[in-house]
Amino acid sequence: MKTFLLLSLLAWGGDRALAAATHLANATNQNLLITARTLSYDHTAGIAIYKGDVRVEDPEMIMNCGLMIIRLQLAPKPGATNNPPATNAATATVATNTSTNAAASSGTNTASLAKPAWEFDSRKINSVDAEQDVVIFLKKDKSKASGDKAVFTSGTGKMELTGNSYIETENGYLVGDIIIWDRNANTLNATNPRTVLRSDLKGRTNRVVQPAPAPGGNK
Amino acid sequence: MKPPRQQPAGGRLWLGAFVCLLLTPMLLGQLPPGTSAQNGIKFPEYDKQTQRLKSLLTGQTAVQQPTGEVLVNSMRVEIYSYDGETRKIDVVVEAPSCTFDFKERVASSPGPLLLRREDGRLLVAGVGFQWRQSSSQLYISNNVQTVIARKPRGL
Repeated sequence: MKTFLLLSLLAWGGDRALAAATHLANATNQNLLITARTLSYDHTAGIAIYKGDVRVEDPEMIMNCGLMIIRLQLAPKPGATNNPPATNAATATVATNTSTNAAASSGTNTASLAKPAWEFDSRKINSVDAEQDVVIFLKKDKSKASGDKAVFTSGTGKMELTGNSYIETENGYLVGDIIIWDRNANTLNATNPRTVLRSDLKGRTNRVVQPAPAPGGNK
Repeated sequence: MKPPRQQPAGGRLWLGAFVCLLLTPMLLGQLPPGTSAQNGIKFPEYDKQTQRLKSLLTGQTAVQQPTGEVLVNSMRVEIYSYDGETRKIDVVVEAPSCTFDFKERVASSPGPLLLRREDGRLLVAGVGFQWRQSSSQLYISNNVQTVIARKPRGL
């Protein structure tokens, strides 16, 4: 598709088209690349909606989904500064059966899609809603997340997965009703979590962690 | 002394009407069908509340079509944002050609389109589009590719 567009742009001709084609061709891993079938961009409302075979790739991850809604900050904040880059927060996978906080061992520099460093037009990306068979791959450690819907919030740096949400890392996988992935702190919070730990990278399961009963609740 | 010769009132009326007839298409940025192209056309769109310029569609040439639309070559749409009273170009939309419905304020084309930021940090390419100027809405119907460059840290 990229080649097709490059050819189209070159066929169009003109300095600007040539410059744009060069820009596309030189698009490196430092950029955010989005491909889709259609785009609806409402400048007044600050919303861009990508539909159909949406693929998003940034330096750290690849996401596929059927629909993606980018919401922009309506009033840019002058003088606002970006957060410093997150450090690798790799920790050993420890999932307790009483806590809803499980450490993810993704070991990934978590600056990514929803970081405030990304802008669409002159406005920062406020949040990104991904829907319809959302699958996310982290490049560095090959971990994978999926769900019916994922919501990235720029301000918090968190991604909330809902609907058949599932995250798999090299140390195990986590299934929960709602999984909140704090990409800055590199932690997972899940409601009603079911965690499975692996003993090795071949996927052998040696322990299944069930959620603790709610305090005062019926078993 | 001989009084100045006065034109009949009816004659002046006809002359005024004739001049208006000639100027109207130019003022509207339109030409009668079949006439030669008009150069350097501009279709501005203003915010109804603030009266500020929201966007400006320009074209190298424009030819009136029998359907009532205008065929615009080298279309360029500048979409503006405001920092206080300072107007700046937010994004630019460019296409080799489009048809512009003057009444509906809609530009469309089955051909390629580029949307970009002036600083090059956003580039959207696609094929087939519709630009609704009154509501500042752009729809790209095929093969959408977007490249967003990361903002340098500290900015």
